[in-house]
Amino acid sequence: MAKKRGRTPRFRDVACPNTRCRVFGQLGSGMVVSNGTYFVGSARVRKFICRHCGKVFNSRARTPFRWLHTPQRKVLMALKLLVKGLSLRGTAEVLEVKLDTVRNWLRKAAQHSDAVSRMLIHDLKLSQVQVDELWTFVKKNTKIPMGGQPDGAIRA
Amino acid sequence: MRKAGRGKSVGTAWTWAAVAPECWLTLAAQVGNRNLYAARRLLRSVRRCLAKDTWPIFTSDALRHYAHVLLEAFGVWQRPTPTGKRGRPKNPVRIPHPLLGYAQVEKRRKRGRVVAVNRSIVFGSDKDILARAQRLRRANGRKGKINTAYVERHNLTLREENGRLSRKTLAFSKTRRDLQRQLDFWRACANFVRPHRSLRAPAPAGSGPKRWLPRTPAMAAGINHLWTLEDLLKFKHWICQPY
Repeated sequence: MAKKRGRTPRFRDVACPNTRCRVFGQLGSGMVVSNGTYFVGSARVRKFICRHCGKVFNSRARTPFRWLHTPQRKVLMALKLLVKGLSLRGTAEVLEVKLDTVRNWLRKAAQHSDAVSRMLIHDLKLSQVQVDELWTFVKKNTKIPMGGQPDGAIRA
Repeated sequence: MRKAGRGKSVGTAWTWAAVAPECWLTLAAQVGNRNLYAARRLLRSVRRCLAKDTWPIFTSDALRHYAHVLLEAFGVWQRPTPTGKRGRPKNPVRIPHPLLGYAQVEKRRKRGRVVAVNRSIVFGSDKDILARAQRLRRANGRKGKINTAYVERHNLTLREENGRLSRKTLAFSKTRRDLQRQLDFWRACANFVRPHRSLRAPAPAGSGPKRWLPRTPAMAAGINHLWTLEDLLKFKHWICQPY
């Protein structure tokens, strides 16, 4: 019979993020139960506890939003700007945050995205693959000797 | 003490990219030098993305390192037949798999303009590779040719959408590590989040006013459904997912 405030939610899409736990990453183990909520700005974050290992975690565990106090919308906006050609400094100025903050968001997003790509892109059956290399530079451009052509003059 | 970001890590760097033309999937985007080691890293990443019994045709420019690392990544060992003479037997040699195809497209330029395109087949039989290249139709519906047009167009998208790769701007990368992070993030967005116009599918009749359904490269490759950036960042890659 349903309770007065509705049925007790079953969190079948939540798994324990503790790598040392025996039910790590297993959905529907029945070990993960709700353990309250808290607010980050106006967003509610749900907390969970793993009955097997006792680990308390929240719905943002092992995502780039973990430990972030900035509203999620602002972080997403910054990342959207970064993949649309804006520089780190440009993004930081537009959103009025520090440069290192944006760099930190990018680092977390990149690590997560790389893991997602590695997990999902495999066992492809492709008929063609094209490969190429693209010239760029880091911090300083190729040295140009006096009156000469830049060294390594091949450009893709 | 050596300062970070000094020495060989600054100066000219190369972004290596691998694209699957049929679904526009970016298989790898890596920063490195223009040498054998970087080519090897790229091809190993591509190898990880492919199924075991898949032998696609590879096309590239005329950089000599590709043939070498393709043999490493996709070659098979062959033991030379015994000669029957005395002495140490010959070492096994690595040969390309019979189904592996590799073709090079070399563009000759005069004052910056392409004056000739040389297509050469390095691994595989000519007939087989041409037939497989023709299957990927051009935009005007004609039979395809051996080309690197898709990856060249992909390079333009990379330059357009990554401020660090834009030429003649001050948004260039200050460290290789940050450039690699930007590429990792961009790659996931380009594969999973951003729909590609040429991949759109006609909407089923009676489904509404929309004529087309957006499709991302990952959808075209049969990996997932349409994601938002939030979906990508909240995806729990450490859980066994139904994908």
